[in-house]
Amino acid sequence: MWIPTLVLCVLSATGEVPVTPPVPLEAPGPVLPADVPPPEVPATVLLRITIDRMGEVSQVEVRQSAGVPFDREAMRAALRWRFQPARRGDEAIDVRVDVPVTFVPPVHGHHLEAVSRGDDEPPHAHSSTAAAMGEAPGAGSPTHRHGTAPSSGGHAASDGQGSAVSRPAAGTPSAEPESAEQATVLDASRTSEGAVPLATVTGSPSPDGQARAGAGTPPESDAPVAPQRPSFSTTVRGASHAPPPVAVGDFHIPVGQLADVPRRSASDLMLLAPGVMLTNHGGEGHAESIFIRGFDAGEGKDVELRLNGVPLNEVSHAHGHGYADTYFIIPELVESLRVTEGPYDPSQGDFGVAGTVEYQLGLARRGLTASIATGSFAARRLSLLWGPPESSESTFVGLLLRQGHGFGPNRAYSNATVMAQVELRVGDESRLRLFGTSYGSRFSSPGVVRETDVVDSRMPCAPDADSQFFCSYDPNQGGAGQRHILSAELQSRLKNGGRFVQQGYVVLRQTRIRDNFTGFLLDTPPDGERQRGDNTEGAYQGSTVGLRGRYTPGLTLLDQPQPLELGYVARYDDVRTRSRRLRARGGVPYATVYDNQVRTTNLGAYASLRVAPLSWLTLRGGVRLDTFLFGVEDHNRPAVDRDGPRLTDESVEAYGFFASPRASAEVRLTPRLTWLTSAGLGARSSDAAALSDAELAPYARVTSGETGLSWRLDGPLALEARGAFFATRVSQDFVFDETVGRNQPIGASQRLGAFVSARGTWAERLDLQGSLAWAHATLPTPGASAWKLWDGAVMPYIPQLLGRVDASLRGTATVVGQRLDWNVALGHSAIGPRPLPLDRYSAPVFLFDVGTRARWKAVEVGLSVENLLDTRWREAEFNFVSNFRGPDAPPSLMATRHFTAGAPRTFMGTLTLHLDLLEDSP
Amino acid sequence: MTSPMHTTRRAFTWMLGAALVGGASACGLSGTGGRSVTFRMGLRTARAPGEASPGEFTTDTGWRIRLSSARMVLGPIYLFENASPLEPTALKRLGAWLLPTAHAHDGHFFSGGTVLGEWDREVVFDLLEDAGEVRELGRSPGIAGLARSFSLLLQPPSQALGAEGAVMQGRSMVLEGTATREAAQVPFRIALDFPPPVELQRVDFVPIAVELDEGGRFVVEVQPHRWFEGAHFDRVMVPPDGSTVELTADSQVYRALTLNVRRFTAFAGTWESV
Repeated sequence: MWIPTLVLCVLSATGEVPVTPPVPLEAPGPVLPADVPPPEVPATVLLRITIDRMGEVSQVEVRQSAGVPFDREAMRAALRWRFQPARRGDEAIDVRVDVPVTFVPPVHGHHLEAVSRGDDEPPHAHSSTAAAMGEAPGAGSPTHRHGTAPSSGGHAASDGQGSAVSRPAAGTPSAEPESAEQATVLDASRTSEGAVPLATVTGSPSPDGQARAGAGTPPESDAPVAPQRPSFSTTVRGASHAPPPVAVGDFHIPVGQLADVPRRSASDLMLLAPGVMLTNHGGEGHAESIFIRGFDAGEGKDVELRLNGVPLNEVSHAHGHGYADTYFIIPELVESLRVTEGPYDPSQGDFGVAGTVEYQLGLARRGLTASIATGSFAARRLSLLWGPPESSESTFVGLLLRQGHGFGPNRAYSNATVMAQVELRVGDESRLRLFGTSYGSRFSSPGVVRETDVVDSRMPCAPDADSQFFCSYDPNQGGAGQRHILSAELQSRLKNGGRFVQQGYVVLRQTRIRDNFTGFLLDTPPDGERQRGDNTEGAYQGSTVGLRGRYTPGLTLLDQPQPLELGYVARYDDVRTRSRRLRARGGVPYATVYDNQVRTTNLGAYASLRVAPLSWLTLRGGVRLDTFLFGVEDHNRPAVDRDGPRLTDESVEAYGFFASPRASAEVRLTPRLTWLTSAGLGARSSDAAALSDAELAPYARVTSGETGLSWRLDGPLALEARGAFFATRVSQDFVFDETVGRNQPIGASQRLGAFVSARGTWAERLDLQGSLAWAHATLPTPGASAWKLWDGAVMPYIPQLLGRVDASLRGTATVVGQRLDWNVALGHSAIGPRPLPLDRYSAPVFLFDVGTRARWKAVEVGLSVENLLDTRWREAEFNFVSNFRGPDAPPSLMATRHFTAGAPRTFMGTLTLHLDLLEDSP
Repeated sequence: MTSPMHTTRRAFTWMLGAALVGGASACGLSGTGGRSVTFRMGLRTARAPGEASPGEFTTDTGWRIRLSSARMVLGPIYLFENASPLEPTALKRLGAWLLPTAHAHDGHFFSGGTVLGEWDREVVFDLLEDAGEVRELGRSPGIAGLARSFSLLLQPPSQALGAEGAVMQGRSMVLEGTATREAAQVPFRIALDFPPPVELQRVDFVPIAVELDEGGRFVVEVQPHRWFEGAHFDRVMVPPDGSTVELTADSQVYRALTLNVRRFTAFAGTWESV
């Protein structure tokens, strides 16, 4: 597929009364139908659109056809565009403009390709390669403006004639005027989430300067339309729907061409954000432990995870508060991620301590895509993806089946996911997006092994080094899970240019995870009996219903359209969370650690305001308020206490609230360089299992600040680079406690860090992203000043240095007279030495994953190799006391290193069929 | 069996690693606190004061003991950071006399504080085999620092001991010898059991003051001459034929030995630079 460049020329009218041109607010691009063969050369449809006084496109006509399918899609897209209406003085007027829409030939998959200039384009206007993230003006292209031509999102500059305009932030457009005529910047940064323009649209003004009707129905009122000749063009590039970043560490990451890089699951896509490391001690299907920005965020306790707006963190989960699994997401359906590192956006909610990760789904490729893969360790994978040709990328169905034996004992897995979404138009002003997913999974887990047992070949496996390394103690470890999500999101345009988004969702899930971290250490058996084993079952079952919404009034403040956003969340969880000990033999439960019925209500609201008091300065600020009511019914109280027999049930309630202000300042240093400073407070709710009755529920509070630079360059070679320093302090951190198999509080923690990242695309053939992040996490000395962020004991296991490179190269070759599309992709993770207890470091880890594919017509074959160098690496490391020798053996009381082995070299071959499933002609 | 491919890969890995370490920390310590060390653990049978042989000594009741066979199952051994609360000092004695303190078992094995070192195995120790020399058990992990007490377990041989434990025939300790006082002579054999719970198997808070560090050796000294304190062999009925008496749990000597072996005075510990 391909991502377009959108170029739109809009002129103001001439005349004595100054005319303010229409300001584009939304411009989702047309989608090339899957049933339409891609053009060999750019195909341009010249549209004439009429923009009415409400800013709507009231009429579209084709002035120049490129073929019926292309005409139809271009018209379909144009009808979704929305503007602030043109004005003569204070009066809204109708205008009409001619807009060429160019469909570019794809190279392979998600393509980005330069578009040659159309004949009717102005000589100096051009459209070029769409950048994957954010936009900036073309190199050296000054932007000239007359009148008021603000851009939403706070990035549009409105300078005097001849001044340059900078578009440094993600998702903002650039303008490349040809002359000093009136100009309007089309900024789709506030458009609907999830949609990506897929064509190049070049705008040119209507040839006359008077109001006139198009063919058919004329505008109802006379209005100035286009000037006599084209004078400039305005370019919107790539994924123009990302909200403006609230911090340098706020990334909108279209997956795009980097989908070619081999990844085990959608979880691995988080590695596209700098400073992220994923580990998994629980097997294929167990949630990943996320290390981000110097946080050991566990399986979600410190990272807010969302899928299409639906929260994934599970409150008071038996395996850890905030447990969030992203393994179930079908990777091919992930269109983009927004990773906000730090609590800087008022929309970030519970668990957003280290940041927020939101997956946005979409399927650009229309038609049916069937893929089957098989590889090492009996791995098999089947995916079916279908995007109805007549619909947008927001409508799709996906099925994914995975199973395999795993790369060592007790690592088998099998799971299935179905995801479906449909986007419907509800009248002219609203769209309804219905999303649902169902997922079932079962997996075995090898658990951890003692380093000393591996070194001394005492593991219950063959004595060779590899067998010992990948061995496992307890075959009764593993888990299963089910998850079902239904979501409905209604996006409405308001008459005054505002927007209103409402979302309701229901989540049903059940998980059971069995871990044995300590062997035979914790159990105190009845007299005369042997230790029964420490295998711990964490069971979780429950449902969540919730509402989310946001309202953006159609206001204009200091030339900033839509400067205010109001939002709310309402979430209710009703879950049963239980932890039990299981016998080593047979896995029969013999003791209950805890058994709670938890009901939690989270109500939150936020407001954010964006102003640009100076042309080079944009300020954002907001505040968020969250309240929680916890109701816990403890089903594991003793039957007898000091006063005699009692019931084994007991209820407690607790309530808490937290206000978190967040703000940022953006200084445009040059047209391409921006300095962004952000600060904010965030919070993690309490684990209901740890609350007392009538307690003012405590929160873990995080205070975070960041400052850094962002630089971008557009053109055939599009580049974006960012770098920042940050500091964070958490009032109550949690670390993993192997004795209970979940995270336990340890007090305050703090972090200092920095990162640099860059992504570049060239001629829609090369997509390269790299990042390097450093973090220093410490536990402050009790009583020490909060400003001594460097002092204290270093937190073990948290990687201090992380590097990541993702690259994809695509091309076309001719073999035996046949066109062959190909690509080569590389993923590289570098994990610096991790601090370990007792002043030690772990060995560094360097992993290389490569993949290649070739497509001929509808058939595509691929091969991927993960861990190309077959490195023996420890995916997760711990330091604690255990006894895996057996129930009779004397226990060890000294903490020693345990680890979970990382995957060895793994091959996977893939056969894919792309079936366009042509339906009726338009 | 290292292939050139592996060698190249390892060199590449270490090269990148060195660059990362240098860039990341510029020093060798991670800053997490503590320092990991490895030391040796050994066992030795202590000689009673003035005695030349470790198996011969005189009890406080005047009996001359000569052991002919002595084996015990011993281990694991834990070295703690905290001082033994049982260690008698003049101030403690005075305080206890002035203000008696009620002691209750805290029910937790970690009352000695952080475990600074351990031998997490068990061994069948022949007290007479090495004639007072150190029997080295092997290398132990530890944390550098001052260890002020240690504990060990006495228990029946577990399955983990395998054939080594067979000689004990399921018993925790087996002693054979002769007790002599003046004309009286008591040939005896005593087999002790220390079954669970673990609270009845532990020898807690043996006072030491050793600075654990890399490369040294910690030696647990077994002091059998302290085990027979208060033992009254004169209450043992010796068969007319003078054959060996099997001392059972109902005998005074058995009870005295059971108590003494689990006292902190039954063992001692020293640190040796090797």
